[in-house]
Amino acid sequence: MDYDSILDRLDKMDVEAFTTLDTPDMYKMIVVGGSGLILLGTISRATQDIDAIDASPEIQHLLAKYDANLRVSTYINNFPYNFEDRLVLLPVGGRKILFYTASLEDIVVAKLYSARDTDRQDVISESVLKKSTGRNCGILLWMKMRRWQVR
Amino acid sequence: MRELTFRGFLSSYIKQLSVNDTVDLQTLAREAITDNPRLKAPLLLYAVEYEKIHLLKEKIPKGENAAELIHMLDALSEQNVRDELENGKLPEEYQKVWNSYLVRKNAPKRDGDLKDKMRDKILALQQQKNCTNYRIYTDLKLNPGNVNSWLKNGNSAKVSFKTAEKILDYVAGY
Repeated sequence: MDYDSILDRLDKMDVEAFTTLDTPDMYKMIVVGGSGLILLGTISRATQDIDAIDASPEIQHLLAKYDANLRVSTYINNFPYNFEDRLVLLPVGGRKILFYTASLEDIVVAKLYSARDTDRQDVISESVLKKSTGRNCGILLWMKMRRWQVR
Repeated sequence: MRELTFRGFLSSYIKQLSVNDTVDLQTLAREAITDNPRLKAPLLLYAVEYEKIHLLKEKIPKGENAAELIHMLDALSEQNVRDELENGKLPEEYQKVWNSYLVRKNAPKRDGDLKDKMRDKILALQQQKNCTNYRIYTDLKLNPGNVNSWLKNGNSAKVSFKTAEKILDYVAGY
């Protein structure tokens, strides 16, 4: 599943929310993990499911149908306490659901905090490190300076 | 359209996950125990589905994480994997793969049902806003016959999903 495929599924989720939820309210979903990195354009690996750290309660019943889940919300403490100040709005949806990702730096911090090999793999990706060029990002610059190694 | 099988899904998924774009067991095994740990669960399920457990075991190269992969394979091979997956009884890394398969398999029906919901919403909005089919197909430059066939008669095959979305967005903003 690549960038366009993820956006397509999020768009359909938004359409379904728009056609079935008869309220004037807008809802929100925050994508993180591998899908977040794909949507930020930093990696392009295969992933099937979409990890969300938060989704409005009114739309949570839609997630499974589009292979999205809130499993990673149990790891919310891996994210900086104010990560919501740096959310990135995604160019999809907007009829009923606003989709965001956490910022690149916040996703990287959360993955560094994780004990899983799979998370480490994403973080040491050359494209993630390259993305830090010219940005005042302490953690990514630190990693580049240390020539972050897998082993 | 032929229904997607679990085997077919696994075959395509492990190829996508593989940095070498392959279904060669030796290459996949090496990747799984070195720099592509994401491959582990789908690869093991693939070996079970295709009855290649022994073959995969032979192909796992000696190395730091080989024992772990062999242990995972042994644990899986002792179970009725399909039943366990269907009942949600396997560890999360395997259930995720199974859930993704089910979503992919059911996507055509899901999208067909969604198109019907879009039609219902469009008809409701048309009534509220007094927006005619003529307005829709003229302003969006769509085929009048197809639009009428879908909106009047519910003939879903006459418009694509993208066109249905265009119509929905147009009427919502009318």
